[in-house]
Amino acid sequence: MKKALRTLLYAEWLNFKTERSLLLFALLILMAGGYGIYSGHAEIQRQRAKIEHLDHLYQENIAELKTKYADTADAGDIGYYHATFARHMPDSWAALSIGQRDANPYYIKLRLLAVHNQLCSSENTNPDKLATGSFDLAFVLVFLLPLFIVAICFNLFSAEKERGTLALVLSQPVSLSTFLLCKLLFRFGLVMLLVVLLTAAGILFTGAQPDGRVWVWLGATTLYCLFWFGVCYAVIVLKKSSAFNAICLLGVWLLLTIILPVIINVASQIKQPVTEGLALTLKQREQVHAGWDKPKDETFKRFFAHYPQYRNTSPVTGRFAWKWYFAFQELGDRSVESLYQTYLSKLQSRADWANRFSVVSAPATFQVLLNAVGGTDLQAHLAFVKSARQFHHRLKAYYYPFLFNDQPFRHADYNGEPRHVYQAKPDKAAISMALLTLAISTAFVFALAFVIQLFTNPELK
Amino acid sequence: MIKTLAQKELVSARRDKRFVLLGAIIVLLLAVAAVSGVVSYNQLSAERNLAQHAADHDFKSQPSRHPHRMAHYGSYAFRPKSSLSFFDFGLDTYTGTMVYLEAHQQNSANFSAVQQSGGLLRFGEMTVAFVLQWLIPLLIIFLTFNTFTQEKEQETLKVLLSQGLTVAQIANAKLQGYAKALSLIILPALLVASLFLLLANGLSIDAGFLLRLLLFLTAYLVYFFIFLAGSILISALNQHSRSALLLLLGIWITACVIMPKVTANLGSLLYQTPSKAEMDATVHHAASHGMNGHDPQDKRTAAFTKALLAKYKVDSVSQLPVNVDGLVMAEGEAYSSKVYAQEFDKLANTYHQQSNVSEWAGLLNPYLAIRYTSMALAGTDAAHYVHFLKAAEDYRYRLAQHLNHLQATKLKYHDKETRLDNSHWKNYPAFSYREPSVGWALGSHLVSVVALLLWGGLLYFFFTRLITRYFTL
Amino acid sequence: MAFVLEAKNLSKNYQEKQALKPLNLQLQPGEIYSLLGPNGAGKSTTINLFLGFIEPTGGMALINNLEVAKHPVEIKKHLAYIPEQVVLYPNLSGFENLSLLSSLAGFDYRADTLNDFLIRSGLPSEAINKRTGAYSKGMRQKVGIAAALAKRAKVLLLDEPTSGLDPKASNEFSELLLQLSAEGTAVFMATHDIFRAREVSSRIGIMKAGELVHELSSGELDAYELEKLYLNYMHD
Repeated sequence: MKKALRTLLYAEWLNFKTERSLLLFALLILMAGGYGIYSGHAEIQRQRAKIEHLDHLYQENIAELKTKYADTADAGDIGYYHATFARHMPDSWAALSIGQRDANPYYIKLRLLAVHNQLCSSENTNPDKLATGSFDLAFVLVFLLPLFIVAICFNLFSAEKERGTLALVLSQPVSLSTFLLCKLLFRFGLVMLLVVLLTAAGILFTGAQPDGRVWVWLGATTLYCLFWFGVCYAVIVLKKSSAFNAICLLGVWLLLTIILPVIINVASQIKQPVTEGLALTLKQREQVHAGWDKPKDETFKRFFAHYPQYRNTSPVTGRFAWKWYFAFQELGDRSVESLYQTYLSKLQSRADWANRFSVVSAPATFQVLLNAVGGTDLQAHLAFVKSARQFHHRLKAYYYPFLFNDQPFRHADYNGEPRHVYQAKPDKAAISMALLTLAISTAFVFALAFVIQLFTNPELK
Repeated sequence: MIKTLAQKELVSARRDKRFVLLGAIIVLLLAVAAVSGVVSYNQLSAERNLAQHAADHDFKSQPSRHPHRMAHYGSYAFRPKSSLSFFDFGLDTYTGTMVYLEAHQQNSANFSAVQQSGGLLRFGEMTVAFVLQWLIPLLIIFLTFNTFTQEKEQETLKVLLSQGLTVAQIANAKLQGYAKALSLIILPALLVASLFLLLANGLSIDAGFLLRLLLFLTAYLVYFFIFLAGSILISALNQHSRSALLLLLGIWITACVIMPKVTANLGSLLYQTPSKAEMDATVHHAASHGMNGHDPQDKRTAAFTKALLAKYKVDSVSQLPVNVDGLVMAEGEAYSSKVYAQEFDKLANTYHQQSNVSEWAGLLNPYLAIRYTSMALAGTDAAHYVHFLKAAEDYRYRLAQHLNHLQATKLKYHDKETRLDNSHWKNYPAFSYREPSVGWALGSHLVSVVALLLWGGLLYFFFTRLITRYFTL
Repeated sequence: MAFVLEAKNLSKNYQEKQALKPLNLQLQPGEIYSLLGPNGAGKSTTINLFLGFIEPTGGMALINNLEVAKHPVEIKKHLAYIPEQVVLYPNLSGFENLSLLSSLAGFDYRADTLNDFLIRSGLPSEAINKRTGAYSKGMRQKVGIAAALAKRAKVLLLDEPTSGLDPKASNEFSELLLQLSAEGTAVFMATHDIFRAREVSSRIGIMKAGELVHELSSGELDAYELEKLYLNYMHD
């Protein structure tokens, strides 16, 4: 048995060496993977560069204000004219799976004004590029690797049968299952070799932190490959023609990698509509602008309820004062806060809903997992937005004492302004969930394959 | 003779269980796509119409206000869904739906669907266009990959040839037969889709709509013809069904899955998009220091005021018959808008250059050609998006200038107290977006249209010649 | 005396059709048995049943006293099979194909031994290390024979071995069979070649519509009489 296995594996190796199509496919996947790594890296590097450049814009803005307010300034003017940035630094793994990072802004320009509209602003992106999606390593693994597996496995039995070599081999004391197992094993080894090569190249080229995620990445990819080998096996044991297998497997690929995820997404949008975004921005405008017309006493009364420490500061007597302006900006924020929270939680639950149903499609689960590993999913963006919101609070905490205590804003005070960088993190909960789902899907496919094998005619002729 | 043969292909296709099954699946998917397209079209249209009306209503019902307050109160432009968009979502999911329009500032278009979705969205969208662009070619391949090779393998082809038929005649018969078989699936599907289109268009039939519909149908028929003729051609030039199938599937995967991504990524690697923050900074810098860098804002304002004083022959701004505040602001708005328009054109041009890589690749890949043609006809491509953004900016500019003009003519110098009554806002026309014409839409995708026609034409004229020339038994 | 190949009421049905009616047959070591009959008579079905490629509907097939259906892998150690079309891995040389097959059969031959097998089967020595994709049908069959030799099988199953061979190759093949038979290998072959069968076989069976209708030992009739007998059966 052991000897037969070795012999068959060796024969596969001899065949592989001489069969050009297999080599070509392997080469193609390596090239695609290489390009994926390069282009993912280029995209993330560009984001990094843009984020770095923000600092330049920030300093430029301060320099301009320093010229404009040569000595000291009213903190209100600074709050109004000065813009700072909340930055979303990519994780070191982001380049391998760009996820939603190209669609969501990776920095937010913030002024002291009402925050919600600022949080919802978006970045310059070419919609055509977004629609086509990133060509990153994750794309190669999620979409192309299954095609590669299908391409090298679909005729693994049928070709021998159609060519006629099967009879001679099976008149030797080797069972059909050993024979198939060897062929699958050889191909699995080949695929894993490519996976390891690409992963290693990806990690080295993009500078991903070689932490525990290496094992998660490899483990998940192994499971995903096993899943597709299971699918191939389930079709192979039907013992149909090569053409049937090719059509059938491509059909399964299409169903699992395109049609099912697409349907789940449509369903999630119909099932969990999010209309709060538009409502939020309209309401915020009304609330903030209403501040101009409300009696100042009333505004301050509501404001001081939240900031009792400023209650006994100098009263506003004239037509306009910055502290009054920012007080009603903040009250505008507070009046839409619950709507904003609903908006966020609806986004969250829509994504959760879709992720839950991605169980039916291993490619979707795998993509969710890779995005979670790279910290590039919607989760990561929402966490960043929350952190940007916190940052705005810190900005207010810095500027309010200047405003309410009528303290002049000196040049040195720019240095004291809080800064913000949010470091994207892998989403551990999503990772373990997806890993488990992937394992279950793989087990399911193998069980299905064995059931099919049980019910198909074992005869060869 | 050809007719008899074509009839044979039609009958055997109809009796082919695979064909019936795949056809049924495709019709089902088309139905799902059409229904979900209409549902989402109605949902989004209603949402945006409602929001646009609410925003307009809010603006029009503002009480007496200082005009500059109104300029900051601003307005909103919501992008209306084009009536054909349900057919092909195009880039709609990836474009912002709403722009806040206020004085001095050009805001980004926000709330695109992609920002409000998880990663699953990126797998694609179930639209009629997806089924037509991806799945029908696949159906054609499955149906025809072995049409010649099987006859070679079973040697029936020799029998046919010994009857005195030429290979070209057989090929033409096959083309006709399969075209008929396919039309059994495609025509009802397209009819139903057209019906949905009519419904989505509110049952109103105007010339522009009919023209778009007609062009849609023509474009897709050309696209299907390309795949049908190409697939039969490859079957004729191959010796084995297996190799023909593998070659065709390889072509399909390259054309529909790999190449679009490669060209899109290449485009964005070659042409860098400036970030919004950079662009804002550039606009701000140019507006305050002058477009040439030696014409700062305060100098411009001083010169403008001086010219104004000279024009009205007075010594101080308070003596002017018009309010200099409004005029200065109008002047500033005009200048900064000009700067912005320049930067925006640069940005739009960058997008265009990026997408051009994919569009020119349409000459190699009919999928890319139909993709852009279809999006253009549906009004869901990048050009339409840019057109909308420009319309929104144009409206913003006019509104801001209208309000500046009110301030200049109806208010005194440095007057921050006077309020103008509601009639000034109530009668200002609301933002209404008019879609550009079909000609404009196709004009910005000439490359794709030409590529599609070129492919169709070349295959039409060279189909039999290629087969006659390169066919081997 | 022990039988190396035996059928006990062996039968095979496909749905309603009886592909093989209950068959009883025994072969001793060194015997050569030829099965004659038209296409579709059940010859290949019989061979496939002995190979375990299909499962019997009734009765049993035995190789070396082991029931084929119960020991599908074990019995293959005792038999060798040469199909009508010997198809080898086209990208591997004749030598590599033989090495693969004999190694699967559990043998660890040295390279020169493998070469000897190929030479003995009649493969031109310059072809041994060429890819079999370029081999003629006869050359491929010789590799098949070499694999059978290398296996030292007790039973050799042949499905129309001489069809498509030129007279010289066919003659060489017959001589090889006789040589193997002399060494004690039992040969069971399905064939259309009445004259060749008469020449090499010790026993001949005539099959028609799944039934063994006549059995005779080769000495009983000359070739001409055998053909007449065969045609008589086919005429009814």
